[in-house]
Amino acid sequence: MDEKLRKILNELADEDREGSDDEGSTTSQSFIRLGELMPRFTAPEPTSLHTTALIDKLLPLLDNKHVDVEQGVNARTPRFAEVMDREGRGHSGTTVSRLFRLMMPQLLILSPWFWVGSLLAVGISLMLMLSPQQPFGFAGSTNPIVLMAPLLSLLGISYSCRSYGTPMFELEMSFPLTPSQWLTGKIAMILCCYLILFALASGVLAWNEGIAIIPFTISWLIPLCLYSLLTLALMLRFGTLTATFTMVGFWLMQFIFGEGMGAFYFLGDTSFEQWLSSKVVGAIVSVVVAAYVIFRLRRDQGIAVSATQTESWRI
Amino acid sequence: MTDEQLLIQLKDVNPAALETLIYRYHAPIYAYISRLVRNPHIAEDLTQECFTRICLAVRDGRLPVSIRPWIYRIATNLCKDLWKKASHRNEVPTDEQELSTKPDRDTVSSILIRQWEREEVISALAQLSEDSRQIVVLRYYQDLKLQEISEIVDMPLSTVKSKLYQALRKMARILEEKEVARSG
Repeated sequence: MDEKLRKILNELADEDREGSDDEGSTTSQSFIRLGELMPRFTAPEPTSLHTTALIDKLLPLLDNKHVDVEQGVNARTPRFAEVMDREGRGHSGTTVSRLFRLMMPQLLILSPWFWVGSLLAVGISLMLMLSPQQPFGFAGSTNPIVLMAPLLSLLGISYSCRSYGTPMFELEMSFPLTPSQWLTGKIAMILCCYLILFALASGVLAWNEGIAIIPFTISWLIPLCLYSLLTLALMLRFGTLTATFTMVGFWLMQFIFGEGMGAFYFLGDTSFEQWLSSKVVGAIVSVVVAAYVIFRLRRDQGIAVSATQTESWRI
Repeated sequence: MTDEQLLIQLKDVNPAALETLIYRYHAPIYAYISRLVRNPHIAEDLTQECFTRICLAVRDGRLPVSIRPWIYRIATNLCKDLWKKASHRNEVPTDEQELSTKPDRDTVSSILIRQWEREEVISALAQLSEDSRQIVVLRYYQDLKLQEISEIVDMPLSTVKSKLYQALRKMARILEEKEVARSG
């Protein structure tokens, strides 16, 4: 008979004597059989890795006075980015230097082809503007720079934020920065790039063609801001792909219908009759959309974007 | 370090003591819960919950006189809570995972024979009441003393002894009947 069972039965010798009368069919042979079979009921054992993982998970509970019993280990594990000491990193220095620190990594992430493409697009737009013969009917109430600025900005934002909601975004979120810092770095990088490029183009035009630089700058600056903010808002709400296609569609619609859209035609230059009213409308819409984006980012601030939560970010 | 020494260290909320406690009891508690709930995933969750409760109790200074019965009692209560849930009663556990994790050196027939025997034991255990099943598992598989079991299941020692003996007899009888039925 199994030694363990024999020992137990010895402990229960009194019970054996007391219970021997009732149902006396249990023979020692039955217990021998029981002793043979009982060890068969083996149970899996956790590995030392499992134990170590459990320890890692539980030990922080000893220090955290705010974790209550109901929460237990179901409480959200803080992201790596959240436990990093960000005081000495992102929060020091002036606003400009902090923004610069956010932008620099994005500069390295973007492909050189992106910069080459942007430069080419702005360069071609400028050459078309300088050309004595305006092709594609640009001689109307718009010009290549005003047309290109919003299109490039929306495509640039979509390209720079292409990882948003993908596993790559998860990886990027493991770095010590919040989703809004991540987004700010990318958007600032794109906007800075195009603002500089189009400002230079405007400078060249003003110097070469003698055009009034301020109205011309307003002509491309407002659609650039409007399209960028709308792309951003749509991206936060519906995802990168939807935002890109919607905004490209919107740009095409503006291009096709042109002046027929009245004050809602944002791609007009100074020769457009409703230039001022369209720019005012564009500026107001930009402010409203910017407010929405800020609200959205503040609301989502600190949300752990885990694989399961990515869905809530609508990508 | 004995459990008593560990208890003294735990009173000082010593993380190393808690670590030792988890190392010492993780495997037995997991095995105990696994045998009772017969589902590795649920067993894992309950084991984690069990140690979470232990951890919070240590943090809040709610420590028992004796560690081992205390831990097993928490584990037992977690299993009881699970059994109370209607959803759990409909679950039919399978042993496919265990079958597939047998060492390569075993022959197919020996694996199957052992698996049948294992299922017979499980089936016999399943025919016991919850209390009796816990007592058998605690005494035979977890090797706890009768006095400790008495504390865990909150029953007098005599009742534990009586239930354990009756449970073993019943299991022996069930297994014998199955053996007879198979051979006859």
